[in-house]
Amino acid sequence: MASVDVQFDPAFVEETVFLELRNREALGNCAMAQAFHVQRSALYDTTTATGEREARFQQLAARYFQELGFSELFAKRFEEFPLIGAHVPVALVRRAWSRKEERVELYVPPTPGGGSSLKAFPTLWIGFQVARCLNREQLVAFLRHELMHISDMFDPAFGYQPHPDFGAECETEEDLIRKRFRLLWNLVVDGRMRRKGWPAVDHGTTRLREFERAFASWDPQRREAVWPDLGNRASCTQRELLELAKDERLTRMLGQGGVRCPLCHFPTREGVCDWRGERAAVAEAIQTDYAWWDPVQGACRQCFELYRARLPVMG
Amino acid sequence: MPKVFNWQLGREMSYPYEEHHPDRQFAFVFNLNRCIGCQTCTMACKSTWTFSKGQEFMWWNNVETKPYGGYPQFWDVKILKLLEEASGESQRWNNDVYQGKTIFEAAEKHVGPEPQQVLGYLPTDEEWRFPNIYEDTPVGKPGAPMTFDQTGTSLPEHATWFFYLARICNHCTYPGCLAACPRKAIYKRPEDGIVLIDQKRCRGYRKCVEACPYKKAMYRPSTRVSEKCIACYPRIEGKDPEAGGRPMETRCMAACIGQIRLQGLVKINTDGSWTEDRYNPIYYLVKVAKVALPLYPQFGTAPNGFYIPPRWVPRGYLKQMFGPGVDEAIDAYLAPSRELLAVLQLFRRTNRIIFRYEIQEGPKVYETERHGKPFVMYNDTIIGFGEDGKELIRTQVEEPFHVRPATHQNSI
Repeated sequence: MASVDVQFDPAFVEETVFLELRNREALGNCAMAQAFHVQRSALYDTTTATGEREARFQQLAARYFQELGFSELFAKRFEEFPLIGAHVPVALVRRAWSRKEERVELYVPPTPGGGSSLKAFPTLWIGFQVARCLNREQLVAFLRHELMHISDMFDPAFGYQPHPDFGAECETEEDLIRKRFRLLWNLVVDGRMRRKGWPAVDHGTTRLREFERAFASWDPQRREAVWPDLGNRASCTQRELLELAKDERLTRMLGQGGVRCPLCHFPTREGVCDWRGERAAVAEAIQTDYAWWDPVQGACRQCFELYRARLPVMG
Repeated sequence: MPKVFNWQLGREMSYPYEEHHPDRQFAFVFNLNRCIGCQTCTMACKSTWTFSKGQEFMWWNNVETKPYGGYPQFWDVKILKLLEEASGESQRWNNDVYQGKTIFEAAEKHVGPEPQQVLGYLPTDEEWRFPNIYEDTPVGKPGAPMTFDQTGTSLPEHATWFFYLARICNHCTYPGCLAACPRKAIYKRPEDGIVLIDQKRCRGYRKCVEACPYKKAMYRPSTRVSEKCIACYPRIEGKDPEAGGRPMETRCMAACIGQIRLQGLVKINTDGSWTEDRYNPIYYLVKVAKVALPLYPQFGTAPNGFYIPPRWVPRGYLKQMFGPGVDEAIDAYLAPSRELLAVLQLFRRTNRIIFRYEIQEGPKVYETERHGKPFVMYNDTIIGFGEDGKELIRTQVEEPFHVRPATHQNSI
């Protein structure tokens, strides 16, 4: 089995070691922290060239990082996912400064003919907050959760496409489907982790709330059925999840006589088609932005309101 | 721990070091009623001192929107909670004497292998990310679009409110950072009480970051040492090229668009109390008019930054933040005395430090009633003098009225 070369950002390593030792010190385990600070303190007085001084700080931290068991913790997580080892030669672990910056990405080198392919030895980029390292159980859960997603991407049974067809009419709708797809995929991963007996990432009740909010348009019975179903699935495909993620409100409304607004592409049953009187100015304002638009095409009430509100500002 | 006297608490308190005070103390007054949250001070500081690698999230000066905002996030809520847990009760004042525990006294209770000198915590990376998170987010009942409030509110306190709190290092009389430093790398300058970190002695233990209750000591990963506001000391020393050898206010003070800031140097007695200096504007605002109050005096560090509390904010919140003098301070500000009104005109009239003021009485302009109290306004002239006794600035209560000569009309 091929192994992944896990490379750690020196800033991540240093911060992890500092915080872990500080925690241990607070719990009464001072010996290691004291030894570390004595050695670290001596490096401040190093008069060698800046690059060498920097390297010494990094080497010290790297040694403690290993002694504290972090290198092994990461290596073991990769061993749990042989598909990743088979495809990814290098994984970079980086420090993220906030939850929003946390992410795991596959970076694929571009192919000669343009585009990209997962077969082209991608690099795995893992960025998360150092504070996660202070709770080992949660760190392991977090890594397993993220790596299971990556493993799925290499699993032929999942049928992952980097640029799938979302079946959306516009970018807004695509964003909505993508967001819902991610959530559904998370639910499947959560369920598989649970069945393996792995501790789950602690989301509290937020995952269920997130699900209920994202699929608020569904009947409660459907939500109650899908939630456990996804959690119990041994496998699924990206296409299945994408189909489930589609906002059926759009097709439902269109099937019931609604139309798509030519401006925002969202369906509407209350299209504005009468542009006489004061509304003529609104039509004119719309045409300023959408030269191809003809008033006979109509617009949804939201777009109409938007341009009506903008009129006084636009003059 | 030795005992020291903290005049802001009205009592003695424990502190890791014996009393030892500078000859003069860097101090400032911020009038929160005037802050518009423009962050010009923030950028003046950032562009002068913290624009380099490793200082990306370092803001020695920041302006945060209270009650929700904070840099680092929730710094005051967290430290108040720690204090409350250690004291076993919320803060309590008996008249002007603080009954609860300070961060130094609370630390004495801490049980652990290595007793803390100061009660504190280390903020996470995420908490340092935003210098003004929750900007302009008020507290109060939610409004309904396109409708007026049916009940309204009775002034001066508003039911829906927020305010901007501009903050720099308070260059405390009893600094938490100094107390906690295991390397004794932090010191107060004897000439002006400015608290500095010796960059050569610091070994990046970050105890100062943990201990400063105001969270104004920050760690710089690229150099592996802590840094903090240096009160633009070259300007205080008159060494800025612009200063011409005369003490000058800091960059953040000088940049203040809202004219909320006044900075000075106050004389200090050997016991740490302020030497009476009746016509020093800072002394007058803090000790005579009692219109400016320390920020969270209950922490026990005796901060040297003082604030004129915002008059529209519920008093309970302000008392938690500025101590028991809030009612008196707001009353004084709402209907200012003749002298206070004149001294308030000194804010941002000069970038040089005013050491003394004089008032030349002018004619009565009008009289009225403000919040049930008589208020008389005189167009007095106030003159600010520098360290050398030379006049720095002369201004009057009423804004001067200029009429442009007709020959220049319609010209640029």
